[in-house]
Amino acid sequence: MRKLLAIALTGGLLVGMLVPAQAKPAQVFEDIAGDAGNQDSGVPGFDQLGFDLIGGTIERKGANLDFTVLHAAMPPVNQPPEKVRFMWGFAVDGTSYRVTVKSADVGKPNPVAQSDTDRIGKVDPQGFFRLEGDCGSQVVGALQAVHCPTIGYLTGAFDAAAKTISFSVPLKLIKAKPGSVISGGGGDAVSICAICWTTHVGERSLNTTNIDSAAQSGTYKIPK
Amino acid sequence: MRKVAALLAAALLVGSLTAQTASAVTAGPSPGGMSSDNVEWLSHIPLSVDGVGGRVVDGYFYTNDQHKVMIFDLKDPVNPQLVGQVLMPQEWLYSREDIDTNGKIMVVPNTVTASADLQPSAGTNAAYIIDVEDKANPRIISKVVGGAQHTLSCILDCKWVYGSDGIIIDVRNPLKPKLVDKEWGEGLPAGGGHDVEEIAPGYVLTATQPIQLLDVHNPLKPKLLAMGRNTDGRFIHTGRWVDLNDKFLLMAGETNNRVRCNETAAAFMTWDASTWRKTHTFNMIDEYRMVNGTYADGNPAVNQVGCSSHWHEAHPDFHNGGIVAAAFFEHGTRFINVTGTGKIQEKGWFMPAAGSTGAVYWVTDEIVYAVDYNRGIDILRWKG
Repeated sequence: MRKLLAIALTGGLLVGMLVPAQAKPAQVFEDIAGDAGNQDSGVPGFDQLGFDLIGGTIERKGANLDFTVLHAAMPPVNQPPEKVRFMWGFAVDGTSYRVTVKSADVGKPNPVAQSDTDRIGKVDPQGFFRLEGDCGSQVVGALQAVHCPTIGYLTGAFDAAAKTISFSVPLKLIKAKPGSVISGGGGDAVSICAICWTTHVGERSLNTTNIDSAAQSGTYKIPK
Repeated sequence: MRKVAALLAAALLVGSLTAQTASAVTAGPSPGGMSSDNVEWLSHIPLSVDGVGGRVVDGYFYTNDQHKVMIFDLKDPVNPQLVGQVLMPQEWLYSREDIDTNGKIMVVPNTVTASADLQPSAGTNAAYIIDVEDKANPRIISKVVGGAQHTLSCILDCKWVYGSDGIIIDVRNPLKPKLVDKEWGEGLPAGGGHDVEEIAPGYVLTATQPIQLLDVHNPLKPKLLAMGRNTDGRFIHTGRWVDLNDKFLLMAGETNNRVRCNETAAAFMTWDASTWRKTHTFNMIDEYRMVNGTYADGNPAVNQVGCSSHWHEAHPDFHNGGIVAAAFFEHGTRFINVTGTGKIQEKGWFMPAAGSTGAVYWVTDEIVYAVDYNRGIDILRWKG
């Protein structure tokens, strides 16, 4: 009996190790330092502008998932130019979403759909953290443009001292629940990149101009 | 991080070793990039996406990018305030250059869509007329479908508009602009090119090959007054002339998509304009090109948009020579001295971090706005 209990415990432990429900921040991607520039070839200065990805974690905090992205350096918010944006495509139990982060923005409609007009007329020197889903792409002239409709705007922060950007995604917005698995995204949520800093051109053409890219190799199982 | 520290240390070292340069200045890092010690990076406005166009008129800086036209109040030129904007989606990959205004109306082409004002229209391009008298509430008041060319330039206080490739738009009634059934280049050696610029009321310098000075007092019947030609037929991108009596035309070419510099890269040029009234000709005097370097020496090892000159502007005090601020993409802003004989010497520079500078504008006699495709707007102080 004791032997059976030990086997059962061991089995349970192994299963738990395969897909553990993590209560602490889980590292889900890593990227080498010094490769920010032109398509992951390092160019001096790009790291100091906060484009050099180092790694990322996910952690449940109450009704939210907190995503944190560590960089080699991070200037204060509104220093990274309006032209660039950080993107992270992830999936919740197989359904893909994307978060787009900018540190400065003047509102405009989506260039492809001429929709998403919620930001028109707004000047936001503090940028935004935007949750997007149901991504698609379409051919516009000679370009294949990616369009991810907005689901909602998130709470987030640029932290120059910690060299991070972080944002909280409400579980409700991504239809996640305890036990849901957060993995790398798929489809057009990651057709520009899985995780990257990229220019606006990335959204306009799948011939992208990414500055620094990474891939989510780890998964995160939402704990109770 | 260690790599950056090493680069910055190398920058200081190399700067001290390159004291034999014409400017005898040393390099130094700043949060904005690297600069010679007579150029100070002051601050940065990140609000611009592939911006390049601009114009300083009566205390305001008008600038555009792919999505919008912005108006900045220049009461404090080192801390300009965004007071108005017009949403104008959308150019796909690059915004329009050298936008023009008289402070009352602004002329902005869009070469991709005639619906940039969000009003559906047939056609694939349009010239937009924007009322900018109320700086806080600029608004599109009319458009000319099919009236866009690479650049559109005001003629005779924006009563007329010349397109870079020859079109003429009658804007005497800005609410009802008309595309004229005639081109300004008809019968001229060059019927179009990259840009035109009104040097003085009724006189236009064309950035074409050959370069032309036109009398456009009758904008429908321009007269050729003088011209100059490069024997190699190079592309002419920019033409500036501080006034009709100055000895020098300030010209530049453009060579995109060249990641390395060489002797065929586009140059900033001086042209002799001292005798045009007698000879009706302009002749090139000198030319100046960028070279690749080590970043630390103010020259990028490789270029992104290209090793090339682009837009430039003479210092407000330029007269038969003086300082010109010139944009050279990844080489940033170069401060160039034109001697009394038209020879060119570089005197200072600012190479932006992760930047590609498209155009530069003197806001005062020491403050320069460098409009950068990547970064937005860098505010620089020229210390001479």
